[in-house]
Amino acid sequence: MILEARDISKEFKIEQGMFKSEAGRTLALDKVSFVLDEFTTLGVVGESGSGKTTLAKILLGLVPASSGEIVFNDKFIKDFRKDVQIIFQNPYNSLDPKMRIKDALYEPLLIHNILPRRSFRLKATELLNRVGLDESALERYPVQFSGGQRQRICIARAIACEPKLLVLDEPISSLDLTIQAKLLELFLELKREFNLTYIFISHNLCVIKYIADKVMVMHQGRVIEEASSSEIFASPSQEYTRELLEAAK
Amino acid sequence: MKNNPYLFWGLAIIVFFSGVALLAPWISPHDPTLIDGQNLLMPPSLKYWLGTDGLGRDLLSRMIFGARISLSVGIIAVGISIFLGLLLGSCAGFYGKTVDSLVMRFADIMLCIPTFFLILAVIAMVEPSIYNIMIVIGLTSWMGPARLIRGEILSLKEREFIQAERALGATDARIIIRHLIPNAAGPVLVNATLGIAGAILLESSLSFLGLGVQPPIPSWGNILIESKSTLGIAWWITLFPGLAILVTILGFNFISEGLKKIIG
Repeated sequence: MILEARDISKEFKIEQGMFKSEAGRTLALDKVSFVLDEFTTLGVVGESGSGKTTLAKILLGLVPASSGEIVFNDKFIKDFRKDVQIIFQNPYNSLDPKMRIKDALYEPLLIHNILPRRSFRLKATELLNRVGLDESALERYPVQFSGGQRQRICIARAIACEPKLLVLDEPISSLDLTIQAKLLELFLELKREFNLTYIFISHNLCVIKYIADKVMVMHQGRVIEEASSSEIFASPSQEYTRELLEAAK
Repeated sequence: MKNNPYLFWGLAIIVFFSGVALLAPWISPHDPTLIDGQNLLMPPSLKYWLGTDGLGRDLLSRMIFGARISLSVGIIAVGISIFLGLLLGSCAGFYGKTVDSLVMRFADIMLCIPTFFLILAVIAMVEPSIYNIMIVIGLTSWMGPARLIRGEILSLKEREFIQAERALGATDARIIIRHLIPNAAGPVLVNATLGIAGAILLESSLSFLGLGVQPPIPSWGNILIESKSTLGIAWWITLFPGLAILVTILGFNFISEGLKKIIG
């Protein structure tokens, strides 16, 4: 067990008018609980608005949960900000447009004091090579790269922290099919190489089937089904899951 | 530069005037405070290219030294206002809620007071030296930049690269200084060049009212006020400093227009 989520709920207030009186509330997450085992991949599926991204942001501590708690196993997660990283859906938005690639990659090294400064360049090159880019990328800016390449840079930046848990929030859905396949391969390789644990969020069931060990189906902020990947795809117990599977065929 | 004539001409003008200001002691033909009793109110001639003023001082030399005062007042005053604007605006935008309300309401209050009269009131209390004028103009003009930066940061801070930066463990200060401000800098720069023009004009107006830079130190504004009494007989004392102010402000406006084009 690397982390356990207990009854996580998130409520958003809808405010109205000049004095921000409360007009209503939406429940984005409703008592979500799950256990994540180390070195496995948990696939999270669900339609848009089912609370997948909100869950990811709460796990990363980017937004606070309204209630519930997340317990990390301190055998794996010692420094939360270093050991848990995220890859976002939109690679065009995930890199600082004013920063050269080398500076983007130096950020995690600087923040966590991972290496002495003189070995930064070597490390950054190594990271870029690992995700399939070469040294020439270092001096360039994000606009000079395609979506797939940018996503590779984001991956390099995330693994620079030497994380234990990587949350992948629809990391390939905005890319074209051939690049999707290549990136999936890369994720699998990295997982073996760095002993990573993944939470892989997607609405694409084929992808989830390919990569996940365990699958969690979300609908309207609730976990409606959780089972091993083979079980879910062979014999879904919930009507909604069956519908999702039907729709993906 | 070729397809951006605004930036080219703006820079040309400002580089010219800055050069003149920097090299003042070496290029001015006469001592700006030297009184030539034989040549009061002389029209432009070979000896005095732009003529002399009512005390027989060389107008060209006074304007060259005046450029130092006018430009440095403009640049330093705007430096102060941009610094304050960056500090307050980025905190307001980044932290939101109470900090935002406090800072922005304070800015609104400051904006309610007519700046010129506020400056007059302050100058009436402190000594109207060139440094005080820079500080007072800076302290009363940070609201524009602050609002601008706040707005930029409000939209930037929700972007995913900022979220990713937080996930990497970056501190607030690091996110603001290394990521938010560089990305918000474009419009601020445009605003700053306009601000310099405004500050130069403000200093001239203050000097014209006798509350600015004090004689015998020449500034474009106080050369103008000295010309007031002799306006009917010595047109050159009014025309040339006025032209200098006009062209400089035009230069800064051109630069700002050119920068706007680059930033898009």
